Amino acid sequence: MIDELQKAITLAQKLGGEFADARFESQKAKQISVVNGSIRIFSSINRSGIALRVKFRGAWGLASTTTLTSEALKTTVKSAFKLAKIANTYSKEKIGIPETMTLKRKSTTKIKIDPENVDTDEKLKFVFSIDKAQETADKRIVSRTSNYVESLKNFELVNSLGSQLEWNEIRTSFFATSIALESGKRELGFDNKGGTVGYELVKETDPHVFGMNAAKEAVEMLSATKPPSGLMTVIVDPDIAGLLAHEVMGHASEADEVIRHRSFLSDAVGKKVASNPVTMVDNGTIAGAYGSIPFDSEGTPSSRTVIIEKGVYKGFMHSMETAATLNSTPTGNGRTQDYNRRIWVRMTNTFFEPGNWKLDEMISDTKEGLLALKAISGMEDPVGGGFQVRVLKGYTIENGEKKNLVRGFSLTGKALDILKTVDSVGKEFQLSAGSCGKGEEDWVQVTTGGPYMRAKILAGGE
Amino acid sequence: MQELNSLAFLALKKAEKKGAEQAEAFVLKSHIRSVYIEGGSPHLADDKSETGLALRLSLGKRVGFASGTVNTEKNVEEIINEAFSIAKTSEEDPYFKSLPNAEEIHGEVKDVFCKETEKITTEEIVAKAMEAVKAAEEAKNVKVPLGLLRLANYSLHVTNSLGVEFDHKGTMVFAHFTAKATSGNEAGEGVEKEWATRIGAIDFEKVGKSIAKRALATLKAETFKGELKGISLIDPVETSGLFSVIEFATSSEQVNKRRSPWINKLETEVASKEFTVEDDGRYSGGIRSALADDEGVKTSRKAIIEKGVLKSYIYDSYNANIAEAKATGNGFRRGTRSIEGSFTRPAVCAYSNMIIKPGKKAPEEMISQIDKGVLVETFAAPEVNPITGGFSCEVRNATLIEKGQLTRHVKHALLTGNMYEQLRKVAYVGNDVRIVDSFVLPTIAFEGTTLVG
Repeated sequence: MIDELQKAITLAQKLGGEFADARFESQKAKQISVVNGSIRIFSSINRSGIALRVKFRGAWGLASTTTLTSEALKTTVKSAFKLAKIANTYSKEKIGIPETMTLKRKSTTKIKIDPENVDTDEKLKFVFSIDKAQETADKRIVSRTSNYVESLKNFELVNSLGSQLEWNEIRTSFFATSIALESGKRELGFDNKGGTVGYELVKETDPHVFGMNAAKEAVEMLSATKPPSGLMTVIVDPDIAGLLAHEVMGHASEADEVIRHRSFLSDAVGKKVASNPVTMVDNGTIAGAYGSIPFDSEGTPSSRTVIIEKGVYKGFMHSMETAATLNSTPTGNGRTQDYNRRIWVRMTNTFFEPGNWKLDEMISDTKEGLLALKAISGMEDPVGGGFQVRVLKGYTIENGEKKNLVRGFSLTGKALDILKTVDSVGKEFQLSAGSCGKGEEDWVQVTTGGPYMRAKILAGGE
Repeated sequence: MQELNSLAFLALKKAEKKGAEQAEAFVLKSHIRSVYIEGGSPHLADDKSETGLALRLSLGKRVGFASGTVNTEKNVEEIINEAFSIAKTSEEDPYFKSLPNAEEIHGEVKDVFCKETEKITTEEIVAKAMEAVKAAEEAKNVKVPLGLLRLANYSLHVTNSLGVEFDHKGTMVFAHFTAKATSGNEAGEGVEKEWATRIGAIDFEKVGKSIAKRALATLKAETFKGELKGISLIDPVETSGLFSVIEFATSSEQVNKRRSPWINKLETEVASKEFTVEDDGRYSGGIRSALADDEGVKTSRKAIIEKGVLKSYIYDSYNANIAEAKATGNGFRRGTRSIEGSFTRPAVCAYSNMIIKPGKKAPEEMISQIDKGVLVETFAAPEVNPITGGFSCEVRNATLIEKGQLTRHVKHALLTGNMYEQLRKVAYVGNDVRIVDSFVLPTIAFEGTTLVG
């Protein structure tokens, strides 16, 4: 395919495209879902397409097709160039592209066991074992869902700077969700695992323990009480700390938001934005992490970008275009969901670095507060710097002791206010697999995480 | 359409010849064009074409589902082989009985395909998006950093071994614009989203003016402190997110999985008397409207909640078989913001269009009758825990209501409540109906929510 892509790029240049790249993607995925002891979904996806991007002065044209013939590719190139010219009609400024090093590389995800080489029977047995563990955990479990997903993506990329790249991304993930019922009250428990790894992730996991964790949590939640509301001392777990890093500081550090004047951190470089123990990075090179990528969708190698260092804001994540605009270097964060979607500046693995506190020390050092556990979802606010995350559960802390289990609630506030009140950062460090949308769509695989952290945060829930 | 019919027919016949007891082929061809506004001008225009096939087949009670993009007959064969491989190695699904039976599909559905939307040029799409930008930027200190206008035209064909044959052709438009107002170091954001089946249904000047107004209001907003128990009046776009709990609770998939809190609640009161919900797969201009669903089962209009009483659940064919009920035309693959890639999803139980019956009061009249409350135009994310109904959503654009008047703009606060309980405390239902995603609904006021700051 590389030769066909190269021909497309040559044509794009001949037409007048100032920069062009062509990316071929093929995706193979399998999903097994077991519900209440029966198979509900066993499916596979195998889709391929080519995305062709052309820059002309102040705008981009993007065309994609799933018709993989030379003729269709020519039409796609012509379409992309025409679209760029049309979009440029209103443009005031020219888009730049940095003179990056030409790369000719091949890269494969390092895995121990290729999921494609594992018998279906074994995969089914694993998912059914997770289901069985939930069923036997407690009679109050009334609904169980257990899922397994494996995904292989192959990429080939050619650009007009002379780069030619081929790489793959392999991901394996699974989750369990339990619902417990008692006296008309329903509660949820869940567990999930995922990474840029092969089937070894399954081999390393005891399905009984994994399923049991979700079930026990759902049952435990039946006795949870109403959470307290108001501004209070909150110890957040690595999962929630990760969402604070990702949703607010992360999204606002995506340089395209900065250029569009949609980031509250636009003028923050060099300024103190958090207390001293706070250091935050985006690092797409962590072996095995779910959000890791060898190259972004523009062919830039992924990298480690320091966003906050000891409380001081250091800088942004970049695509090729934003790096040129802000006179910086591409950081490997120009990512896209698939060939049907555009490239934005996106995160990879985003987290706070660990500190020195043990969780027990943090709790015993808290007179009154809340221990917030397990993030369900969060939402970005790059303009206002607001933070919202929904959490599954928590415990009240009274006189240095973990006390009552409380139901799900939300945490909110201005991120900078929260980060300036961080007074302790934990030793334990954990990354969680997830997916991230930009503007509620364009999903890419990421991880968020970090250590336990203590800060003043507004909590509220029913 | 002929091309899709042939592709689906080819896949079905090959699967049957290979030994499938029952098979279903779903083919989707989409053409999508978008323009992305950045910094007040078009930054990227795109044009995307995709053709995909989904095949579901059964060998006794073993079911395989495979999907993929298709160019050649070889691709079709690969998908069939994959579906067979899955079905052969899978466990038996004791609940699988049959694919949907063929039935006569009559009637018509209006305003689902628009020739103007299909034929509009990219130059015209760009000009439409710029209408919103221009209207917003007429306001002082307001810019449009980000906007998206996306048009899709698509055709689908579904056929199965039991004689189902269904074609559908549709258009979809989705717009999402953001304005930013600034004053010194302070900034406020205003957002609007619009869904339609034809480009002419969206007033881009109105969208631009609305995002500017919202951005300026947020700019003036003060951090809310304390606690306010009262009535919350919520914008339809945000309410649609909160009403995902109705979809969850009335979905036969969730009932069969024993996850729905409304199991065994048919003919009982689950909401206020003012509250009536229908599912109408033939609603004129509805995003998912068609004569049949994505399994080829005919759509209809049916009562889900009538004057607060739960009347029925919605059924796709799989869940209808489990419940020994009739499929209600609620097996969907199609997305509502965009259509590409929809063939990769098995049909799931979902609303065609959830219609909330409008009331008689305009939002202004509702406000005038509220002594103490809050008008919420935008949440950070209108999310609810569907299992418990609990929600606590950060308000991004909100205004306090005091003695029938809109007073202070507020931010950095959480609106908390339990959606299943809020449905029993509907204070007013507005008359300002909007199409939002797969919902058709007005502004609704709920009693007993709490704003916490």
